[in-house]
Amino acid sequence: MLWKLLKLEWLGFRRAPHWGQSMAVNVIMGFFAVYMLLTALALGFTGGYILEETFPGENVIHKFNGFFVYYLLMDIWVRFLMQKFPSFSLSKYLTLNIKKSTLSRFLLTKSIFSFFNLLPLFVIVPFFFTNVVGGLGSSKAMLWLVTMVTFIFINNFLSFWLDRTANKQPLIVFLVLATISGLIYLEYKGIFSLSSYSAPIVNKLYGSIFFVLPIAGLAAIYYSLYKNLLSNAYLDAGASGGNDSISEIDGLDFLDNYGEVGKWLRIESMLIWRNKKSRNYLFMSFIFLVYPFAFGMDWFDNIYLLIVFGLLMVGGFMLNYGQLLFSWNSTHFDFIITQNLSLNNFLRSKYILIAGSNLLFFVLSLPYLFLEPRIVLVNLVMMLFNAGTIAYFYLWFTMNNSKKMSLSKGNIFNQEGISAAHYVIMIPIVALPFLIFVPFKLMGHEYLGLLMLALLGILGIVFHKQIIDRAIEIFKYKKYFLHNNFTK
Amino acid sequence: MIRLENIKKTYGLKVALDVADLEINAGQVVGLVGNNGAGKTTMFSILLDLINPNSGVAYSQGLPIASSEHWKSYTGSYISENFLLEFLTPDEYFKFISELHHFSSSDLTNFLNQFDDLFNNEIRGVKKYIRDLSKGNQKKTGIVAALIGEPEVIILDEPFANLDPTTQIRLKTTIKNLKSPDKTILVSSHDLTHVTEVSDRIILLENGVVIKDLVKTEETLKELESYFQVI
Repeated sequence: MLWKLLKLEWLGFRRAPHWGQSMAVNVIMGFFAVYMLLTALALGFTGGYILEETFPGENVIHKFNGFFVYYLLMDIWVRFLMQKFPSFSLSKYLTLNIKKSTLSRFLLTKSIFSFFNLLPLFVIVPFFFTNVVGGLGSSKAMLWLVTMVTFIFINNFLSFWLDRTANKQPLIVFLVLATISGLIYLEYKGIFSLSSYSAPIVNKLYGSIFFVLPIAGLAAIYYSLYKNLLSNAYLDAGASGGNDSISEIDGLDFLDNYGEVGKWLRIESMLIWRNKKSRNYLFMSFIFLVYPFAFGMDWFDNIYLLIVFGLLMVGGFMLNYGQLLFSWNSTHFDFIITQNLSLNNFLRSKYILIAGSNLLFFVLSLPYLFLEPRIVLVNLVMMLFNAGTIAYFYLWFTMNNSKKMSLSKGNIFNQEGISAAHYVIMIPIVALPFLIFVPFKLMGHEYLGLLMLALLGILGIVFHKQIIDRAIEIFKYKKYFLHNNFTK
Repeated sequence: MIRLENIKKTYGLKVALDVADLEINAGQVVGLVGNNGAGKTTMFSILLDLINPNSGVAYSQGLPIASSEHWKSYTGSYISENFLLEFLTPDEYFKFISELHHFSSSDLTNFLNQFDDLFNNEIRGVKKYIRDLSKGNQKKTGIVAALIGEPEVIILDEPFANLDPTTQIRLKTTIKNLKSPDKTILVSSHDLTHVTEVSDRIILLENGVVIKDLVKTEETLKELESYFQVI
């Protein structure tokens, strides 16, 4: 039965209307996956040697265990941001002759088939053969391997649980992630090293009967997740019930004075605020604003990094929300086509939304002035560049993105959550400003390069009317294609 | 008012709609009937520029619908829940549409007051998003919103389906009251009784082709019933 369900899911994936479109992304993702796996493999084979060189005289396996704990912490963050967990989009199966327990087990099994579970194995297994077997003896080495794999699975199901909880109790998820971030930061700063405290514990685990502890932990988390899925295997699970208070956004009424464009901007702002998925995207943009800190303080004097971070800091919202620019309206696309709202004004408000978000996030990034004025200068340049060039790329290319999204379903984050593909798409866009900047930089005119970026942006902003008029000509035909796929 | 000229829409080999010439004048209430796949929704979608015919042109007030956006200012329509902004409350939704039609808020209130019976206190003033309303109430919201702004062309796809009997009867009265010399109303339905009751003219589609185009008389309902029995 599990196998049949897996086959059906594959058909659903294969026959999705946007299968062809996501092909290119899949290819790029494939390359990335292979690259990551090869890197992991190399790390696995050379890891023992590297550890020996870096920490002479210390036990290589113990050192490895210490890093592994650190890795597990990071892993939860990465999985939370990138791993796609299966969900009960299985409502269609609920009335069929399939036991709910089977469905629940199916979801749990499916989550194991993930790149994020495969990757660490590519490090662990080679390390196991090169160092552990020789160092511990085969029977103890086997226990070591079992323990490591168990921890990876624990991380998998823990992230699954976090993902499900994110919808209902975001505060818990926030606390868990904040704790993990705190631990990572303390480790990084060398204030408190969890890995050195926990390594001896890990060493104890596979060295004695205590190796059953992680396995018991895995069983416990699997079982509680199974129970959770089982009790949520109802159609209305996750439904809001409709008694939510209406979230009003004050202070947007002024937009009504700016004609149809302003009115639609107000409506789209309500869309963003009132739907969980779009709100998550908004919050994620704030993370983009502060995450350069994760890279320490070394990037201030590197102009290339300043540009990348500048683009991401002020463009965070555009890069995230813009990817699905028209999909946000997929459930009410007919409204947009048939209502007394001209396509011109609709596209213009879309442009103003993503281009204008750069201004908003630039203002929010102003405190960087206290840290290093050059950051703010580059951010200003990137704000102009984003609004005048990259915003149009999104306007143009998302006309081909007919991915239908349900904004109102309960488990939004689960169903059509952000996957790694979401970030991969950003790469060519991040490369764009370098095409212009690098030649100037190589000639030794760094500031001229920045000026060129800014000028190009200003040019794009000044001629927005003409550019949008061109976009309308295409949208006029693309709208049939979008309507067709959105109503499927 | 509305004119379909050599309209042809095919999906692969299947003909969804094939209409050589069809003219609908102002003042008419036109009922569209036909079995599933007959082309009713396809016709409405072409009239609303939601799909692009393979050939032919659809005109509204003499202007081609696909290239002029003028029709939007006087056309009200409801085909499916894709016409609703599901993250708004019904009141916000009505208000937004009335703004798009430059309707004042007092005009809107007066307009909505006449539907209080239809709404049954479950739509106006309710602190719920449209997505949390029942299917029936969503439909009521959509149909009434289609009538905001004195539209001259009204297009309703299956307005009676999924509504409770009382609402169906009230909706029939509403449609009959809307009839006026400057309005064109198009209604499709699987309910032959309802649709013949409200219409002046019945168009019967089958496999995308107009089979019958009748001016309603006493005999029309019987004629339709006998047609669908044999088919």
